[in-house]
Amino acid sequence: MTLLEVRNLTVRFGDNIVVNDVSFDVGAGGRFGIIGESGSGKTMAMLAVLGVLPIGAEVSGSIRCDGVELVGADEDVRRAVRGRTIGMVFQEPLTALNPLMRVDRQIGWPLRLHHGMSRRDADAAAVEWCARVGLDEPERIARRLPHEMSGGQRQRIGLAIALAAKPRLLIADEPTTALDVTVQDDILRLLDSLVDGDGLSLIFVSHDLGVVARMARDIAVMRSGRIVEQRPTGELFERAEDPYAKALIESARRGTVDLRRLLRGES
Amino acid sequence: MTVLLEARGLRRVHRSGRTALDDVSLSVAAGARIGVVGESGAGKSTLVRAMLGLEPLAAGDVLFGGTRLSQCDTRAFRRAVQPVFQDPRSSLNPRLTVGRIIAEPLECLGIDGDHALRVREVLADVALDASFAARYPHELSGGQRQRVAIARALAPSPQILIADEPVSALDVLIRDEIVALIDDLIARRNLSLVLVSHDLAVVARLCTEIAVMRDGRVVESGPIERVLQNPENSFTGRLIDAVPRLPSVG
Repeated sequence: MTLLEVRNLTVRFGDNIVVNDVSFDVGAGGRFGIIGESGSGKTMAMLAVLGVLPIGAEVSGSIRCDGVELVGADEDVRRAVRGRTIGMVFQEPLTALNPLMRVDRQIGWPLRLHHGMSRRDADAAAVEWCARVGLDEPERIARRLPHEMSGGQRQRIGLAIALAAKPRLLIADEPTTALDVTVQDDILRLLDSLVDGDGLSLIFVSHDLGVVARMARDIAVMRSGRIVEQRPTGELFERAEDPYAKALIESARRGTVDLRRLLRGES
Repeated sequence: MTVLLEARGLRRVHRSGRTALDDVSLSVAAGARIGVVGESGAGKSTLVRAMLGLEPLAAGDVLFGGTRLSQCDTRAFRRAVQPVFQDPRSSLNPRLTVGRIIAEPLECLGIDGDHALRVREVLADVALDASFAARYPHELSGGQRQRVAIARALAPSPQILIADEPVSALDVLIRDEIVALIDDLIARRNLSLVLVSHDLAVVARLCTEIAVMRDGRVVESGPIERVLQNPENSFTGRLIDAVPRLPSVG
């Protein structure tokens, strides 16, 4: 079953077209990856899905989430979807988190907003979430402010906020780009277990083909606002046709040739 | 092999009391290609900055040609050891043309000769045509800026290039080009390289030795093949395991 259906999505700022005729589906439990360079339009497409584009953006086409059309919909309709049906986690948790609010209150906010929970219940749920996203001493850490945590801890909080209201689709936009590789590995594992555990759908956006290939079963390659190629992950690596998509794959392979040789025998 | 540059028992303590380097030694022989890897905060940048003579040290010495930096000929040292930094947007002076930027070390270090000619030579080395000399950094793409940063480093004919995350701010396809360029220049000019990177794939392409840092210490070092195939330190193993793998083609 299709959870998110995007058709001919175009986002422009005046004459500048940043997302150009983009179409894709994400099924229930699906894992969709978007790869592209900076400026390729991947983040703008995701902001369009969430209905939080910067002022001045004109959107056309169709975004249907669980059967509900979002393009041109009232803010009430969008707000009901954002955070509730679709959760989002961003690249830089230090800027995505409210610096003045304890993290338990930030995790609890969507629960109070969408599920009418009392502050006390939301606080308790926030502590549970801190434990679920693998933070040690959840009671203590829940009362901290974002700047009192490491980057990896902050991204765990970002995940807890995105998932607290039990969305059905999680959009993760470069969620590990700002992190060290070993921390990235931890967060990707956590993401795997949370997505699989709750049967969530996932859209994973990154400039790093290795990371997207690990997380997604289908991949769209974006360039200059367009999807230039879209295939199941394995198939993309075997028979991409678009020259840019091929160049990206070739580059990723060439980039790791020496490492694979040094690590011995890995193809 | 001749040791050109050596860090011996470096200790750097920040004013906050945090120890950024804790008894760190690293030796750079002629023609060596050393990758310094580790996570943010491990002390990689502090180490190479110290080796450039840019960090006040609580203990230890940096030796250039066997002589302590405090006692050696500063100009000779600066000429021989040149840096390339991560973000060319901030490391290039926005008010100067590319030609002036590249000629600056030649002037500061009192190097004789036709500077304009030298500028054209090193621009050619990084595959930029001579017209780039008249342009300003903001007119250039990220990849072109990093080429200029490399040209500047090459201008005084150094023996050692110290590159701190030279490609991590670039898009992947551009990153490839710059890695290939560095590889080619190092080989052609027989330079030594100290490369700081969080990306093991880049280190594997450019380096033959590796030093793994954690919490201000070098936890493991040696020939890259030995270290990657048989890591002795558990953190090194974790670093290797964390590299995302590409699907193999059937």
